[in-house]
Amino acid sequence: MHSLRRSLTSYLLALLVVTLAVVGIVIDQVTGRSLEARQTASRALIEAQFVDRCRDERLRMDDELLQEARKLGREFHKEYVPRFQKDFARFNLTRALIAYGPGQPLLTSVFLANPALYFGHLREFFSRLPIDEGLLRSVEDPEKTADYYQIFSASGRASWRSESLLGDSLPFMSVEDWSFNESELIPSKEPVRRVVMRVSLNNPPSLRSRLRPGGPGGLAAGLPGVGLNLGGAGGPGLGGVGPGGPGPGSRGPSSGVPGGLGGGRPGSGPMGPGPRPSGFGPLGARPAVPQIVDENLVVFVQCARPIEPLLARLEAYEQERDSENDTVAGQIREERRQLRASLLVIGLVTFLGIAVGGPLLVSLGLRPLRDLSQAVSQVSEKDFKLPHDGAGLPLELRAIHERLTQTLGMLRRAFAREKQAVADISHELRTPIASLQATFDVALRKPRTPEQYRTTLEECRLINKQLGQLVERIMTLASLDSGNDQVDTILVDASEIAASCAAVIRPLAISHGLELNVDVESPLELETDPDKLREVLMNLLHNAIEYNRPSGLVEMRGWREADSIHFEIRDTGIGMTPEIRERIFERFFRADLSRHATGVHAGLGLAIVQEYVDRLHGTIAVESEVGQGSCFRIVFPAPHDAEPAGSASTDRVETLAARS
Amino acid sequence: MRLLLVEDHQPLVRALRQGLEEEGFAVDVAMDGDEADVKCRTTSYDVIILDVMLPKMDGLTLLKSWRQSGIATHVIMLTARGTTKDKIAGLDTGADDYLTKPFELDELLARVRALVRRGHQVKDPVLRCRDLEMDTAARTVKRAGQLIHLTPREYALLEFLAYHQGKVVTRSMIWEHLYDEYDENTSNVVDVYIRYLRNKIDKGFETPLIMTRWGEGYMLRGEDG
Repeated sequence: MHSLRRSLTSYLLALLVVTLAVVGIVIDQVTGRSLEARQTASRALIEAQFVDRCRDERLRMDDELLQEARKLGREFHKEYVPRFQKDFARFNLTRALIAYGPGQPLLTSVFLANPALYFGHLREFFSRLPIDEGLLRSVEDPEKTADYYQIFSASGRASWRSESLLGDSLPFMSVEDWSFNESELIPSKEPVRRVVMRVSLNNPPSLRSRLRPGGPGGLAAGLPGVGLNLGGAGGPGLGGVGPGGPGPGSRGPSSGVPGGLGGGRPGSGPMGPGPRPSGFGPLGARPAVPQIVDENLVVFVQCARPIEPLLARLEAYEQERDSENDTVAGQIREERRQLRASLLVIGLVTFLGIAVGGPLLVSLGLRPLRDLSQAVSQVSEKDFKLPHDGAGLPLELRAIHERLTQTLGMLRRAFAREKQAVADISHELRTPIASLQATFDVALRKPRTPEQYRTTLEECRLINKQLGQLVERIMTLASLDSGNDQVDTILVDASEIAASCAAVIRPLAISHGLELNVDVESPLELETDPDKLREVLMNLLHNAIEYNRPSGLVEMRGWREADSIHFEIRDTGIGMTPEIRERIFERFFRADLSRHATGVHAGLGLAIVQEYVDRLHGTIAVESEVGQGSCFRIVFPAPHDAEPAGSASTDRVETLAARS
Repeated sequence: MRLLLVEDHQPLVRALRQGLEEEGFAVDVAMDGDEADVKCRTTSYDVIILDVMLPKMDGLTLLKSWRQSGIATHVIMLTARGTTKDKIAGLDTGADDYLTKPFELDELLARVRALVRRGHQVKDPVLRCRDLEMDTAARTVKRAGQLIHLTPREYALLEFLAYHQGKVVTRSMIWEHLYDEYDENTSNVVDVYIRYLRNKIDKGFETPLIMTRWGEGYMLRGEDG
C-alpha cells in the first residue's frame, strides 16, 4: 500500500536531487574552467614579470659592464697612449721603410712582400709593452671590487689585471668591436659574465653612445631562452654599430677624425644602417690626439663580473615566481574548494527545505483530491448526494466529480424508481385486497341469503383473478430480471398467432365501440417464442383499446420486408406527448398518475413487452401524436431459411394454432 | 346522512356501497375526478369518501380545489399509499381523515360517523333529546329506557332530525340528506317515513317529539321547545 503523497514527494525529491546534482556539476565545471583560465592568465603574467626582471637584471649588468669597460678603455687610452706613442714613433720610423696598403709610405709597401716579418715585429713590440700596474689604479673603484678588469695586448701575451682578480685571469678573446659572453676565470673557474671591447689606440672609446642590442655576441646571446627582439631590425647591418656608432644616443660634435679610415660619421636615423664606422666616435671636448694610423694597434679591454650573484638573484626571482604561482594555484584551489563547499551547502539546504516543504506542498496540492475522496466516503445511502459542489476543483478532478455526480444521480434515480416501484406494487396489490376485505366485511356483517353469498363469492373470485394477474406480471418481470425466464424459439407462422389474438380481443374492442382491423401477411414465418409473441400482441392490443377514443380504430398489421418481419399496432387514441413517449416503456411508469378503470396494469405491461421483444431479438418503437393516436412498431429479424408455408412446416403451424 | 364515494375500483365500490347503505347512509358514487367534482359542487354531502388515485384528476388536486373554493364538507381519504408522507400530504391538503387500504369496513363506518358528528359539532356519540336516546355508534334507539327498533331508513331520518333537534328541517333537506341520486324524488316519501317514525317514537309516549311546522318542514322537539 503506498500513498500518493509519498510517491509524489519521493518523485519530487528524486528530481530535485538529480537537478541539484546536474546543476552543481555544471556550475562546478564552468567555474573550474574559468578559474583555470584565470590561473593561466596569472601564470602568464607572473612569467612575463619574471622574464622582464631577469632581462632587466642582465641588461643592467651588461650595461654596467660595458660602461666600465669603456671607462677603463678611456683611462687606458689616456694614460697609455702618450707613452706608447714615443715608442711607436720609434717603431713607425722603422716601419717607414715598409709600407702597408695604399697611401702608405713607400717603404711599407715593400712589407707586403713579407707580411710575416711585419707582424712578427708587431708582436714583439707589443709583447714588450709594459702595462703598469699602477697605471690604472685610478680606475679601480673600491666600491666595485666585484668587477674584474683585464686588458690584453693584441697578441694576448701581455695583459694588465686588476687587483680584484686576486691572481686569476680572464681568458683571452679577440673581438671586432665588443662582445658579451660568459666565461670562467683561470684557474679558479669562477663563472663570470664579461664584455670584451676592442680599443684602438687611435681613438678612445666614447662613453656616450648607448648600448645597442643585436650585435654579434651582444645581449641577445646572453639571455636564457628568451627570443627577444628588442629594437627590431637588429641584423648584420647593425651588427657593427658599436658604442662609438651612430644613433639617437650619440650626440656631440662630429669626430675630429679626418675621413678615410678614421671613421666617418654616418648620419643616419635611429636604426638606419649606415656605413660601418671603422673607428670610434668623437670624444667631445677632448684635445685631439695624434692619430695612430695602424688599425692593428689595439688592446682588448675585458670587464667581467661574477655571474653567480646574478644567477643567484635570477634563481631567487625564479623561486619567487614559483612561489607566486603556487600562491595563485593555492588561491584558486581554495576558491574552488569554497565554491564546492558552497554548492554542497546550498544543495543540502535546498534538499532539506524541499524535503520538509515538499510534503506540505504536495499535501496542499492533493487537498482537492482528499476533499473529494472524503466527500465520496460521506455519500449517504439515503439520498446519494455527493457533499461536494465541485467548485474550485482542479481540471483533472472535474471529470471524476462529474462522472461521480452523474453516476450517483443515476443510482438515486434507480433507487427512487425502485422505491416508487415498491410503492406502486404495494398500492396496486392493496386495492384489490381492500376490495376483497370490504366485500368480505359486508357479506359477514349480517346473515345473508345464499344468493347473496353466491354473488359475494363470485365477486371475490373476480378480484382474486385480478390480483393473480398482477402478481403474474410482477413475477414475470422479476424472473426476466434474474434471467430465469427461458425463451424457446421455434419457427412459427406469426400470422396465426396474430389472428388468434385478434379473435380474443375483438369482443373487448366492440364493447368499447371500436373498430378492429387486422391486416397480416399470410404466411408470415418467424423464429420466435409463440407464447411471448402472443403476450406482446395482446398487451399492445389491450392498450390500443384502453387508450382509444369512442368509435375509434385499432389496426394491427404484419408484413415481411427484405430481412425483417414488421408488426404494427395503431390506435386513434389520446396519443402521447414526447416526454411520455420517452418513458413509456419504463417499469411502473404511468402516463398519468391514475390508472384506468378497466384494468390493473400498474404500468408494467409495456415494460414486459419491451423485455420480451428484446429477448426475441427484435426492436420496438412508438410514434405518437397527442390527440391523434399512437402506433407501436416491432421489427424482428426474418428467419434465414424462410420458406413459404409448405407441407413441411404445416404440421407444426397447425399444432401451434391449436395451442393458441 | 348522504355520502359521496369517490373510487374507481369497481369491486370495492360495490362492496362499500352495500356496506354503507346497510348502515343507513345514502351513497352517491363517482368513478373519476371530474364526476366527483361535479357532484360535490352540486350536492351538499355530509361526508365525502375520497380515493387518492383517480383517473383524470388525482384526489389531492381535487381536494385542494374544493378547499380553495370554500367547500367545507368533511373528507376522508382512502388510499393504498400508506406512508407517513402521504398521510401528511393528504391531511395538510385539507382532508379531515385518512384511511389506508386495506381496511375493515367497521373502521370506515366508525370514522364516517365521527365526521358526521363533527359536522354537527356534536361530541357525544349518544344523541339525547328529552327522554330519547340514540346511540349512533351502536345504532340503537331508546325512549324512556325502552329499546325501539327502526328500519335503516327510519333510523337515518330520526338521526337526521336528532342532529338538527330544535331546528326546522325542510322536506328537501331531508330528501337531500337521506336519499341518494338514484332514488326518485317524490315528496311523499318523506311524509310517509315521518309517519312511520311517529308511530314508533311518539306513539305511546307522553310528549310527541316529532313536530310538524306547516309550510316549512319538521322538527324534533328540542329541550326547550
